[in-house]
Amino acid sequence: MRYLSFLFILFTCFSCSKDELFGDQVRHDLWLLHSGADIPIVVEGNTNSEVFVILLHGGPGGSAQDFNAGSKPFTDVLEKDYAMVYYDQRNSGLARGVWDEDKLTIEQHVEDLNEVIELILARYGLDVKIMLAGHSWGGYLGTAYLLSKSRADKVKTFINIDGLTHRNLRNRHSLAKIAEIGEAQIADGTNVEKWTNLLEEVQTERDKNITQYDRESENPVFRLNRLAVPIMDEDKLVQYNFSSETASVFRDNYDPFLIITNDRKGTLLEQMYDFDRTIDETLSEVTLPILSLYGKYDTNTSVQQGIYLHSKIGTDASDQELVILNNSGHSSMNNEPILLAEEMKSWIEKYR
Amino acid sequence: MKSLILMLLFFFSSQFIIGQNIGIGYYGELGLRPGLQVDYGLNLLKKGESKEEKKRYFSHQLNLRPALAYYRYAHNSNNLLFSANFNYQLKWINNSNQSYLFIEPVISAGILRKSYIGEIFQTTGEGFDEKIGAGTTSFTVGGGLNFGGYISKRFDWLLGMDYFIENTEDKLILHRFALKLGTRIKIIK
Repeated sequence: MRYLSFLFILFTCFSCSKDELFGDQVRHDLWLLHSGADIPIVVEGNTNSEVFVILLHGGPGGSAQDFNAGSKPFTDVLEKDYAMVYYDQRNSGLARGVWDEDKLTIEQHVEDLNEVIELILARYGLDVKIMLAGHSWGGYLGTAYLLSKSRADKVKTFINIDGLTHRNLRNRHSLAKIAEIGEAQIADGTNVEKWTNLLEEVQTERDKNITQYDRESENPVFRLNRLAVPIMDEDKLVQYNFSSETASVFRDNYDPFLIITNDRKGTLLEQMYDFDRTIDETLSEVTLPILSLYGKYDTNTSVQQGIYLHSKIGTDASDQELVILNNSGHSSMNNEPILLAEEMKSWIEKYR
Repeated sequence: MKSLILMLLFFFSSQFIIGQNIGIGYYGELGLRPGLQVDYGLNLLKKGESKEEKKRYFSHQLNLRPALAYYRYAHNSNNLLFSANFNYQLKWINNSNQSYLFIEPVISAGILRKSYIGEIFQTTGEGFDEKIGAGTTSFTVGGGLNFGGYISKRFDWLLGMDYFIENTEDKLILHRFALKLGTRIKIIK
């Protein structure tokens, strides 16, 4: 028993050893306990750069540890030059703590993100540069965060990767995108039967002329989107390029079973429909430099979401850019990781 | 408290316990999250006698094995699992040389303490307080299957798999697997 206690203490001591704050390649494992949630944060990469890119994962209910363990642009490319900050949102990924549906709100997520930023500033110094990069729902969260000037002032730039901007419009954008891709494939003579059948269903859905979607009425759009993805895969429109999940589990902190358990959205999706109004009303007040990157074959959050974002923000035209990745779908970090990383890097260099 | 002590005394009394052994071995959640498990085997019931005329025979046992396991989940947590494991052991004994093989279905219940790895910060409203030793505690229930056999008069080998569910205050986290490889050392024959 004494031997066992000794071993336990030994393991614990090793696990607590602190790395240097600044280095070319460091890894810091942090936990932020805030408002009932235990939020895991991994800071990895080049902290000497003093550039901290905070990744906002998708879902809601995904995991930023996916980005660290499984996808390449951040680990293989960007960590060499910048410190990447992977944090799991409350009730998502590897987060622990209390499951409290009352706190599963957009406002609480924004507050959590603000605390993450404050922690980075407190730990690494007020001089470090904070940049946000959000994927899918993470794009929505990033946009929501920037709607307040006092919060936006803490951030140098926002990189919107296949981001959701407006929940209601996204449904119409999805249907239009599926139709656009399907028509092009039919004209090309590829998979004509499958595309024709799908486009008939898409047209039926569009004929409903729904102007205001909700959680119920968006389901058919999601279903059509789920049908479109395998046909696009069959047509080899999208590339895939990511690390194996097995390696992620055993070499890193990835925990698929906890991530599945945590994938609870509460009423966040309903809340987005209400929050769209706030987005509409205040997006023009955002003046931060913004880069948007969308997959050409992203039918989930199509490039129209990016076009909407860039048409609404108050950012000077020279400080905003929208890039389309030609061989990507909804997860460009897994489709064209190197191209995505290069685009992000050149943008970060411009605004660091 | 008194009654608990009396119950434990009864439980551990030599009259009640037929045989004892200590198990020690590798314990890895998902196989490769490394750890160590120590358990103590208390034989509650045994059936199946040696019969001179039979070369091979079966014995049946019910055992209680309190166990303590530590495993490390890289970049996430140090884990300490205390569990009570009940198993039914079916042992196939070769009478000529007293070697044997056994299989054990197990049911278990326990407490899992996860201590977060890394620096832990609690928001205070005006900044952050660094905390030491934060983590979660949860109840576990599960089961498993062990295989083992004779090495020598003193030692057995053991290979097994545990499955358990982590039951936190408000979540049921399914599908915890652990692989075990180790030995059992007999302390009472």
